[in-house]
Amino acid sequence: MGRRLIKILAVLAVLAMIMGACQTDDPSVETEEPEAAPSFEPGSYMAELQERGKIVIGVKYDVPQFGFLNPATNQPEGFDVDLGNLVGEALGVDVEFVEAISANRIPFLTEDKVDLIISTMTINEERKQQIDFSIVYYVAQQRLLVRKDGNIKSVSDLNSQKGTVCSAKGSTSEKNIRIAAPDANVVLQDGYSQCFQLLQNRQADAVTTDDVILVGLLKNDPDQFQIAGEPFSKEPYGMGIKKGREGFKEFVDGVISEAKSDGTWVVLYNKWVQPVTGESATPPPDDVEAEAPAPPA
Amino acid sequence: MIGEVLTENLPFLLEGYRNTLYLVAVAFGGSLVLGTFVAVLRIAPVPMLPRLARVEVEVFRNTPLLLQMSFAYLGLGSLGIRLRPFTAAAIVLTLYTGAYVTETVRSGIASIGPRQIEAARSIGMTFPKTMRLVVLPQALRTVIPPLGNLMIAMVKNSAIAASIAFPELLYQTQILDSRTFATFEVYNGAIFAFLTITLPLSFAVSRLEKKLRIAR
Amino acid sequence: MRKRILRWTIGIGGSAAFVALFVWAGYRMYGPGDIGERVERFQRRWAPFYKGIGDGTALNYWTFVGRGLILTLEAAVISILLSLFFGTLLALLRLTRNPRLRFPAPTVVRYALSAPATTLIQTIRSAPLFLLILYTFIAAPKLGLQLTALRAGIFALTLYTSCVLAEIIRAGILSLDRGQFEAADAIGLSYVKKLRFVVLPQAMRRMVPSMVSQLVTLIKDTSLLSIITVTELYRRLYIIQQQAFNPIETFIVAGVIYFVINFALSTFARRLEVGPSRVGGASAAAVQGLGVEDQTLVVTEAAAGRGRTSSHSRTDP
Repeated sequence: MGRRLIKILAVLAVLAMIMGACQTDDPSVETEEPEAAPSFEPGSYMAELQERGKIVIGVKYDVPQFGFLNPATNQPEGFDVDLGNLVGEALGVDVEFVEAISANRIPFLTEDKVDLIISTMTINEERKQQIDFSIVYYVAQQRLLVRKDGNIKSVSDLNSQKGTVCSAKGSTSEKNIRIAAPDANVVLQDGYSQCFQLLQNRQADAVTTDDVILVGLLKNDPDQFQIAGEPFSKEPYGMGIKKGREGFKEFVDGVISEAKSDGTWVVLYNKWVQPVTGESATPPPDDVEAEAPAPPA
Repeated sequence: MIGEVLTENLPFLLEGYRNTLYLVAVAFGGSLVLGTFVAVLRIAPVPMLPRLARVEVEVFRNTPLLLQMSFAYLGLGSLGIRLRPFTAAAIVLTLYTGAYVTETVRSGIASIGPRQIEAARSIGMTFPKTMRLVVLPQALRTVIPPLGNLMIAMVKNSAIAASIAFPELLYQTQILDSRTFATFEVYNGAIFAFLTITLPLSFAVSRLEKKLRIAR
Repeated sequence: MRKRILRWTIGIGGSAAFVALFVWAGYRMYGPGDIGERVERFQRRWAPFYKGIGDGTALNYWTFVGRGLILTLEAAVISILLSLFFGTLLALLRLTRNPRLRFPAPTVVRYALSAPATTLIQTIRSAPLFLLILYTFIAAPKLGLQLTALRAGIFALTLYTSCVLAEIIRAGILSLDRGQFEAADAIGLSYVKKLRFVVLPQAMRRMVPSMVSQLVTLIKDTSLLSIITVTELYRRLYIIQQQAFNPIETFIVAGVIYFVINFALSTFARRLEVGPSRVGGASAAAVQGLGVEDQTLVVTEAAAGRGRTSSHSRTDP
């Protein structure tokens, strides 16, 4: 029996190794031919990245349109991912994407696990204490998604009726809704499809987050649900960079500025966001202040 | 290790602590009742029900608790059974631990042996009566220590209720972490808090085990 | 005769209620609306698993899920192998204090080795695994422990499982007959040889079913790694949910996959179990009375009239 156990374990070990070998460790390594890589001042962070030959970028894997690990291709895709590829191209290095969730993205940067975070992250004062941000690359607004036949049609309804509202753990949406509707019952889930399920089930009266994500949810069942009320916050998205990386922020800003001015931004917007919202848009200004909601009067 | 963040937010964390205790108390009571009932069903002299009982036990033992929690919270809701996170967590923990209670009680019943059952039945007692008056009182006594172990396991498993937004200890910890960024301190506090529940329990269980072993 | 009718009524009634529950649930799940709308919802939510979404075929989706399954098994198998090693080490360290093993060192040294091992085992086993996983990923980097999500996950699983296995192994060793230790000492075997040729082979043999049970537990527990972004089975089904809005359907798929694997393993574990007659020395039931949540149960199906006895072990629920 003991021998048999050892044999079984040995077989399992071999299987584990084979599996390990078969598996392309990370689905997200994208190799792109470096085309006439620009050269940087030795000692700068860009030169360091070029020497290493790759840049590691943290993106979301579960937010369709921005950062999503597409099951069909097993590759991350979306607005944020394409911007990440632009940065990689500008450096002339490979891009490796890793998943960054709200709870770990700032530690990821400060602990050098990633070089850049592009994950629908709102630029705000609290976070500026810990990391640097690029210029604004997208501006979202927080709104509510509700049932058409429900009683709640606005943030003030939500507050006065002490409704249940769902959002994602660790998001700015959570913080904002607690300010805008302090009497509402906030239920936090790991992702927005769970929130949408709760809304469908009538376990929640509303889902709140950035408009782009809500529109994506709404597309699923526009007959029964609607986006209601006025936007109540402004969420300028920026790329997160570790503090003290001289020159890197300026470099990333340059990539974003160029994308905004040469039409790439609009191409990306039309590729990812426009099909969902049906609205056209122009690139946002470089400097947009986040606007937190006002508490109810 | 204990700094301002913990002392300032103590009421917030204590609420989570209380919720954890409350959840475990309710769900463990439930799992004892359910588990014992299913254990009896598994040997009930009726067609098909023992098989169904077995299916129930195997399903709950062989799938992840995380999955069961989410399923109960979101899945039952879509059937119109709208549960609050607490109810969903309590039901799932009851079923999950109940499956283990069933196996434990079954072993207790087995330790009594078939003769007592046969004797009780031959003097004309019905099956439910045999179980209630003869078998279960003896069986449950012999499995008290393993049941205590299941309770400890449940305290630990209750942390998974954080994933469906029940404000127990871990959930409160996560919220506090995202508000204060005092990750290290807050998580240390959470581990310490869980240990204050599980360590005394496991001490009590091992005392009980020793006592029973000597009694035998 | 009347009794028989009663029994069949209870049996069939109970089963019918059980089946009716599922039929009702299936119907409610795809409501409201007429049958056409329900069918349409059904097809849309199951689409990833039989026809795909957009450019992605069902094969793409199943491959995506399959990669997750491989990662799940990989994490579980690596963790159990590492835990077997570290668990044995911890158990032996904890047992240095025990006079039966006669660890060749002065008392002070024996206690100095045993005490930290005991503390570690008790502390880690008493903490929720979910919390340990989050701790390793989110809090431990501040201690300088820098790991990728997968490694952090395997680290936490291994740490926890090692401590659980340590207690099983310790109980397995202590369940051996005293005579075994005495005989080994009498023929002059060294400490290492005594362990290698006498103690561990016998103890391990008794613990085979517990090990397989622990593997089942680990496979279930790897689902917790989804929270720290390891793209294992559960995480991948969760990602599909974000696209297809079908939490219930994906949970069912995940549940079936976990169930099939774990049920097969549990059944295998039960086969491996040795009846008391085949175990040398003390009976397998002596492994009873373990620490926190491990128990070896002796289950008799005699009460059900089958007269079959099997020792049945289970570990961490």
